[in-house]
Amino acid sequence: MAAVALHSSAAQAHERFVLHRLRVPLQNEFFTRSLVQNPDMGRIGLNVAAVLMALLLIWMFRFVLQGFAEQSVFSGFGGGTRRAAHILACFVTDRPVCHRLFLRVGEWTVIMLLRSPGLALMYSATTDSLVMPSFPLDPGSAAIFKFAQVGVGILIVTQTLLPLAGALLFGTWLYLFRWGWYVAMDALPILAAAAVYASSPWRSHKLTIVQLNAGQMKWIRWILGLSFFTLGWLKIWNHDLVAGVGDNYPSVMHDPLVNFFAIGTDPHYRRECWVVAFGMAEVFSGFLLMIGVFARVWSLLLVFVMTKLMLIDFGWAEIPHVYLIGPLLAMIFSNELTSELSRFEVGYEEACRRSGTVTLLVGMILPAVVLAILVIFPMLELLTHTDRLGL
Amino acid sequence: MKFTLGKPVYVFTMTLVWAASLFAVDYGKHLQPLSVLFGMEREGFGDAARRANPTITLWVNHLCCSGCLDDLRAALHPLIWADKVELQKDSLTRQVGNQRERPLNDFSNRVQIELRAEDIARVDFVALDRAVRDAGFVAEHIQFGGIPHMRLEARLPHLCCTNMCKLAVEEDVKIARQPWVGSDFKWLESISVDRQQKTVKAYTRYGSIVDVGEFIAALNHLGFAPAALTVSREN
Repeated sequence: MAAVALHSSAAQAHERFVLHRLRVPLQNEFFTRSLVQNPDMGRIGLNVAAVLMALLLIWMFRFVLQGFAEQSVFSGFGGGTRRAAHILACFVTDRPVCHRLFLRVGEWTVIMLLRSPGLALMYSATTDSLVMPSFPLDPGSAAIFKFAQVGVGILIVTQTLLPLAGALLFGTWLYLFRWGWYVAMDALPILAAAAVYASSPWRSHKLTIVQLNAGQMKWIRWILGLSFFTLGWLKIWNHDLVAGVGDNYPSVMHDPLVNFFAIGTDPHYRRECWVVAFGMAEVFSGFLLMIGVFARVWSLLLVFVMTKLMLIDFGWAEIPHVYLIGPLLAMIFSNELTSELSRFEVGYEEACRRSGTVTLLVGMILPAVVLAILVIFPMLELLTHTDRLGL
Repeated sequence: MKFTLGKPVYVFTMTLVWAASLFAVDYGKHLQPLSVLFGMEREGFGDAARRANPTITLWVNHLCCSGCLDDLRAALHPLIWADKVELQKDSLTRQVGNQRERPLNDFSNRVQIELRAEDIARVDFVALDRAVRDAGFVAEHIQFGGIPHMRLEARLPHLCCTNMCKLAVEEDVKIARQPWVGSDFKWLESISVDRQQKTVKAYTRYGSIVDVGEFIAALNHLGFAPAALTVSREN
């Protein structure tokens, strides 16, 4: 599972600082053939859909599985072990974790989420960039934008007028469309912090904000999930960029999960399949975050990868990962997580009471299958028909 | 007015006002068509960017008659990569023609040199500049566009040491692109200096039009004369 995130790692690495020149051209027709005529891309889609379906099913039956584990597997162990197993189970299934250390760390992660974007903004200003070092400022207007960024950074670091800071970040993100929608999509993660600021009290400077409510967590989950989901599709669309990174950093091509997604494909198209599997892995992670399925586990893996990239692989150039690490940490240690599937679960429990186990099974399995197919295949097919001439 | 939580209209309004302010500052600093300002052409998704052939534009402040043009064409004739040399019909206005606001006479014109895609690797801007000068002209600007993602590569015969020569180019170009110096370099993304190969690579911003003359002048200003200046596509 840890490798899942490793794939996303390279995906986050931005083209400005990460070498991305193709050593050997890709076979471009691979990306423009319909899934019907392209068994390799279809196979990757099937693999991803199968894993997604499996995880959705495990999620649907998580309480049954947890009950079985606690009552059967751990029943013979002592109280300490059973408590630890219960906490672990709660952590994995996104239920509230009642442990003092967990709560304390959770408070700190909220502070980290609230304040760290201010530092990243100031760093971007010192590198003549907007929001992140990947987006250089035009020299003609750089001074104004840099001072504006520092102003927003000061609001954030001093926790002053946070709704204003949120609005300014939202506005800045809108301005990024001036440099192309692709740029704005790349900067989506900053909106997670912006949403928290925008929903904070105006007198934020007088308050110690160490907890986020369920609504705020939902916004964070949605925005981060959407970021990964969108960037994953964009990676398949802009395939040369991702393949160029793989050419220059061959180690990223040995990721177990990405390679698992590419199982059964033609070795002749190894790099092409890797690009598609890579993008799909990110789509997969993003979708699970968006619907709130094993959100803590995915967040934990992503934090590990983003931190490793920032501190070890690419260094200061990847400081914008702070925009992701803050909200992901807050999500890991939050006891206010919700899932978009919970409303279905309530309905199925009702159905079970009335109609019995068969209805319950069909009612829980069928949506997982349909969802897995709908998320993957229509968009993948659509991408094979898109125009890439402008890239 | 009392701001309270649960008034998303304030946040929404401030967002729009701020975004509009940033666009206004941008527009005020660089007057340009709104389609460019909103990224519809710059990012290469627009038809204009897609259809454009690689083109060099010479801004010549004296190009008043067909005799001048013939001389210039004759000078460019030996450059086999120059496919079509055409005079741009719309003559320059003072404001547009000279971006540094110096007075400009009414005898100036622009010449467009179209290139075939397969000839891009042969283009040498130093040879072009020299040919123009040898014919008795000076190009105020040598602009190159039509490739969304590219890099310039200047070969500097003198680049002998790491601590001084290499550092001099890196640091001085960095200074030269600062807004208060008066130089534009709006197209420049970053540079890298390779002492072993004696090259300076200038990576351009996506979809930008490059002022090659500005780059040559900057290198000259730093005390370096490039022997050749070529262009390559990035990815």
